[in-house]
Amino acid sequence: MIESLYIHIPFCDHICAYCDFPKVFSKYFDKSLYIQRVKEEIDSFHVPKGSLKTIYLGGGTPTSLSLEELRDLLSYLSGFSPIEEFTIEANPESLTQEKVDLFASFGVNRISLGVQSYREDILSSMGRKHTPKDVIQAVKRIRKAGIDNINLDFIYGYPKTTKEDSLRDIDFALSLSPSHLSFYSLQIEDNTLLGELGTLVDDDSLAQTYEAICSRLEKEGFFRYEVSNFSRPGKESKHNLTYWHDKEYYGCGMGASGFVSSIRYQNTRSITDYLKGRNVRSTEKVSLEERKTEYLMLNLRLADGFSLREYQGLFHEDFIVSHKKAIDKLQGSLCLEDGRVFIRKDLLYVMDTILLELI
Amino acid sequence: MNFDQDHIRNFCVVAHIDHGKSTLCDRILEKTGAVEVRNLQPQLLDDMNIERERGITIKLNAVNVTYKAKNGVTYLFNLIDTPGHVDFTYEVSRSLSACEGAILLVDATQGVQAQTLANGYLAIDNGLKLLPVINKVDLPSADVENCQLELIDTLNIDPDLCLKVSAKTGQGVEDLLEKIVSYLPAPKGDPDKNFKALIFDSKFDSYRGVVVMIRVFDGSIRVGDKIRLMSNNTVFQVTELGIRTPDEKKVDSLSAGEVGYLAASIKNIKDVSVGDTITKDDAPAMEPLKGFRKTTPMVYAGLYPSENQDFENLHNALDKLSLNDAALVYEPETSIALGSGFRCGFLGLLHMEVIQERLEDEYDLDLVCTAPSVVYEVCYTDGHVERIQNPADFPKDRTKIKSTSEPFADVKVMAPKEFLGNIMTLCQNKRGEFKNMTYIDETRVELFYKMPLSEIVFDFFDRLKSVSQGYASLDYEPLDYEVSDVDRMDILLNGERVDALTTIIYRPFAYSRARAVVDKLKDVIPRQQFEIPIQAMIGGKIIARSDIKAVRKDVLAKCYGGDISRKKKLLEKQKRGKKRMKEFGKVQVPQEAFIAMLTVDEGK
Repeated sequence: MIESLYIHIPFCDHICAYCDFPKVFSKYFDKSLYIQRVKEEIDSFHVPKGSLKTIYLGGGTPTSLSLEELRDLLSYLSGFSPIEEFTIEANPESLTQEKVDLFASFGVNRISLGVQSYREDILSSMGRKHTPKDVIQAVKRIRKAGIDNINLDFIYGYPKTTKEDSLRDIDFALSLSPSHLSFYSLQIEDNTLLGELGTLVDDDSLAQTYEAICSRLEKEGFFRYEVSNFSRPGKESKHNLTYWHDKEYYGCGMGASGFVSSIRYQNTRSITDYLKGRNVRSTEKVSLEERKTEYLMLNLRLADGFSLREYQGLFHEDFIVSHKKAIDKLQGSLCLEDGRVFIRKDLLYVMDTILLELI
Repeated sequence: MNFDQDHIRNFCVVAHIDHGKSTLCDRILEKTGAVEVRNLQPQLLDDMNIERERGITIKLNAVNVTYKAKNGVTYLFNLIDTPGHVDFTYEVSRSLSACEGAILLVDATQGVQAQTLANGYLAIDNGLKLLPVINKVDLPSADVENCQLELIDTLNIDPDLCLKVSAKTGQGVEDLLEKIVSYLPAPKGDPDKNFKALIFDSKFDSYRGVVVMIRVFDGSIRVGDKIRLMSNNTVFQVTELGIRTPDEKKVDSLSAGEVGYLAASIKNIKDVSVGDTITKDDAPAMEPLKGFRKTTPMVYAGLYPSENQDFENLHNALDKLSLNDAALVYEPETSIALGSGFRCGFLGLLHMEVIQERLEDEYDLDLVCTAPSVVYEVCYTDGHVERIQNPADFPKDRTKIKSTSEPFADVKVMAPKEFLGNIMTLCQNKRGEFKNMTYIDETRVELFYKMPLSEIVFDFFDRLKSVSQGYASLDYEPLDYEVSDVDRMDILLNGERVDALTTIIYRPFAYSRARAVVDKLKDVIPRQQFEIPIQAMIGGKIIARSDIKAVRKDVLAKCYGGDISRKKKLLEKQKRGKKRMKEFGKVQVPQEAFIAMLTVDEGK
């Protein structure tokens, strides 16, 4: 039974320098028609009533939609309630009190706020349109609306930032008492504004910054449950765990990807096609062997890895037997405890080397 | 199909790389009706995939076509295509000596280039008459006048003689065909003398044995005649004669002036040497044709299958390739690091790369190739002399060595004089001993050096090209062995000696060489989970060290729905890359590392 639904809202008022997600300038397109198409797409899955446990509205910038457009979409989604974890991504500058109140009234119980940096000059070089003050304001509004499960996203390793900047980011974040934090190292992708510039912080400095972030957050009571994600106990993102547990999920909207009936698909990245209802998907049937690779690649991103029993149930083989050679070789790097397999805590940042032995 | 010698024209096309030689040959075949347009695949004379891919000709090729000239007479053209790389200079000179004339092809947009001159001079040296042709005149950037001026300056060619063609569109090609008839000389052999022919190419055919391409100079030959190869006096009976049009057509006889193929149940390609003279056993010629030289491998390298179980497949593939390539030699060897493989001898680095690529493409093998080396001689204190083909066999104990020596060569570099300084510096860095310098004309010089062969066969040609902006050309002639202060340099990865990385180096250059090698290896070997010291050792002493730091980050920061397929593909690609690596102890070394040993630049 599929328990998670991702909805992509590709509209943005501004394009950020580092972003390679499917996105379009909001002002040129008919957003109410877009919401209509998303509803049609969700309908096409015939999602059983009461089966969904998490919904995630991501982007793009979901908060670039107007109050009416948001109400249209949320009232449709209320047909699936109750939802255990219902997250909306928000940009600090466009999260008005009306919008967040509306979210709360439709059962949204988690907000993920794109903060990225405490430094105004860095924010502006990223092409972000908010200030740290906007962030403080947005968090107040979220709490006022009665939502206290708040995630803040940060980027580290941005050109001209240092390890100290990241520690200051943490200070700033902690002053807002979030329940969840994400720290992503900057990935320079092709087709981004930054990709053109191509200046990157080297891996050694990234690793140092990462270690500093991890140890500081651990002291503050945040548990690193995934490579880039930290939470208060029990506040892990249930929706995102769907991905890392390699479970199936519905993905809807332009450019969204999904995983249904052993098929990974990606919707058309053309907004005009999507609006015309011509959603040509690229699809990939995942074989059992590939599924093993995916399973390990995703589950080992998690601090507590995966359970041997689950592995056996999915693939009908004993992981310890089928991977004996690699396990012997990886002694000390790959841990086996209480029926679980996971990567040694301090090696998570170099897990690909380990993964390559296993796949 | 017997042509009077007056109606035969034997010629080749010489040109700088990419000046359109193969396209012009295609057009000649098409215009003479040898090939129908629809059957014409580009670069028809380049048989091998690798030739078409790289746009170079490696093995030479010959085609007979007939052309009905405007004077009403039908002529027989023998068009001989030539390879264009210094590794194959000898083959080029042999194919040139099968011709009376050469079309000198120049790209109108680029003018006279190094190989234009080098091959032009080679043709003149071989007594050929040059017919200058300026190609690509249809391009907007064509500068015909400048080409003509350069041709006067460099080769003293009369501008009125230059034909203007576009091999691509066919413009001017008919004029060219007429000019071949009127300007290039007919062969002047004596059909009544004893039979004498030059072998200028050979290939193996599983039904007929070795098939050789020959140019008949005097006399004639018929099927059933007994022939003798003059270099080794072996005798065979002719089973088949024919010409290529380019499809093979059998003929009963070949006579003076003609070019064709000959089969005589020759089982082993090593019996036949390009450049050798064929005569009749019962009526031999008095003197062989001039210029014969036995081709010997200049460089040796170890070829190993990535997967040990592919050893037999590699063996079979080498057997098959060597049937067509007399210059390729090989024998089995074993490396502690790489397992079972072959020590192979090649004409030069390009030849080595070609063989390696053919093994990988045509025989689907994954190979590890060790750094190439020339053959060194070690003279021991007890007086016996050993030839070292594999650097790992070089004695570790120097006290038993009386002296060491390596092969030298006479080097001739031709270049415009503005590059003289660069080239002389390069030659000195390559241990060249200056011999002489002459001015060919106002702008061009010829430099003569004596140099160790080991320095030439590695990256000298590439360096020469880069310091002269591509204008310099190179020729070399092997000399004898001379005493030289060389020693083995071992490489230790993580403290363990890797025999496949052992090289032989010139001792006075040891420190800079060792430093360059460990630094290069550090760049080529990927960072792994732990720190890896790379050490260079000579005579039990570590003389350079560089450390590969442990990998610090390799995980993707973000991995959500949309990233999964992409990330998986990336991992699968890395996994395939990893499979191609060799494991030494715990260290994984990519194939590039073995070759990287060659391309180190000590100057930097």
